[in-house]
Amino acid sequence: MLSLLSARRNKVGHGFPVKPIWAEAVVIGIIVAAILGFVAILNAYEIPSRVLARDFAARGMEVPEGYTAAYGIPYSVLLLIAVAVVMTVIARKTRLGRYIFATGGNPDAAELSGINTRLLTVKVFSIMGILVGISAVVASARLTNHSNDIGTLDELRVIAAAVIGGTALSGGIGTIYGAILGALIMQSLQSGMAMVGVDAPLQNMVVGTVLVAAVLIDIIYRRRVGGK
Amino acid sequence: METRTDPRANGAKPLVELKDIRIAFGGVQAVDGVSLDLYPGEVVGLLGHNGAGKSTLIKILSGAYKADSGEIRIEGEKATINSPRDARRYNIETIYQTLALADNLDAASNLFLGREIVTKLGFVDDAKQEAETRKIMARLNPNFRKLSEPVSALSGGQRQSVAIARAVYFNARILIMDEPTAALGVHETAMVADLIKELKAQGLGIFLISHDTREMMDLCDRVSVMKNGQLVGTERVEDVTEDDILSMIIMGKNPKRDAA
Repeated sequence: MLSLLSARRNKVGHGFPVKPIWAEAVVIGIIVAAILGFVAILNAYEIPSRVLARDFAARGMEVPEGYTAAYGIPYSVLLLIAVAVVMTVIARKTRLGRYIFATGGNPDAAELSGINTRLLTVKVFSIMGILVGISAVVASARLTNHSNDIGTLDELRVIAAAVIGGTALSGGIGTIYGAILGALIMQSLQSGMAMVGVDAPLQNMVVGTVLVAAVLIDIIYRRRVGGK
Repeated sequence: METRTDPRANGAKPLVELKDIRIAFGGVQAVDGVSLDLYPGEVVGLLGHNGAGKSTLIKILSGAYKADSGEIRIEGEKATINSPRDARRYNIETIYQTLALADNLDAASNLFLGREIVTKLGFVDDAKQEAETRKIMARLNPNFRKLSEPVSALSGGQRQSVAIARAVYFNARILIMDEPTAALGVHETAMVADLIKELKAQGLGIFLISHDTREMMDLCDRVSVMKNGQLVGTERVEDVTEDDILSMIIMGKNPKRDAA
């Protein structure tokens, strides 16, 4: 919201056409409503009373009369939102992000524009390392303990998620929120298959097929719209 | 090759001096001992066959390639140009044949690529960049309106104006134009010609590469002809005819000078 307002002030400052105030207000209203709705839905799931009783019993206490608790928003989701916001700011608003997109679009042009593309590649990989580290902490925290092969073959699902979310494999195009949506779709697919009882090997095959299909559609689509 | 006296250069320091530049790619001597100079307010044309070494020579000056040997002097000082960043520090701007635009970014991002305007917090100031882009585009190409679309959606002429705007915007002193009018229509070509004259009047030194000899005769003060990596000769345009230049390009020698 603040960023919307400041963007508006900036545009007015340079004499660009802007949306009328009421339109901005509606946009802000929708965003606020969406956030509140999201929190309300996640808070609407109450922890079953038996689970509560067990938790209290484990601490040697009785459940107070009429006590209820909601699941609320998991830490991992909060973390996801924080990471998404930070990465979007980096991608859209910093010189680093601009350089990453430029290099993805045309490495030669980026180099000729005075961007050190080799150093940039190192930076991109280190950002990826940091993010993978965060995701590894979340993944292992979720399972209490796990052997060191926890992330095996997750990279394929990550690629599929990114491509479904609109990232071009040829580089230079893509968004953070798109990749998150892609990940949601991939995970819905996998969780859904687990719920209806599809065998584990079959699940992997479906994920693989989706990956191949996503990449194929990406290539065909970019060719149609005149990309590389 | 030959000694040349430039009457306008009496006492003036050359803006750029390239001395005995050599570069080889594998066994091919792409540029073989070429010396050139450029004075402020002068347009020097580079002519030659495809593969004569024009673009390679110019890429050495703009930092894309590193010369095997030779010396670059800028305003009399020895300059070391190892990368495009160094070239920019010496206020050398280049319009490449390929334009060197990032297709996925919009015009403003391309214009400021590598030199973004940042706010106090260190974020890219998109609004300011767009405003500046509008300003310069209004001067260069008033028909240009697709500011927020990726450059890949623009026509050849519009892409060219983005590349030219990028070179002109940052107060270049030395401008290298590698076939700036190759992709342009008649009207845009005339506009580029006007721009070159205007920049020349502002005291910039311009290297111009083109295949169009007539255009070169119009725009340039001197023309240098290259063949097979070597400099055939540098002539003032008043002293030669178009035919002389053509025979320099094709045969590698100046018939008039040989006859004399």
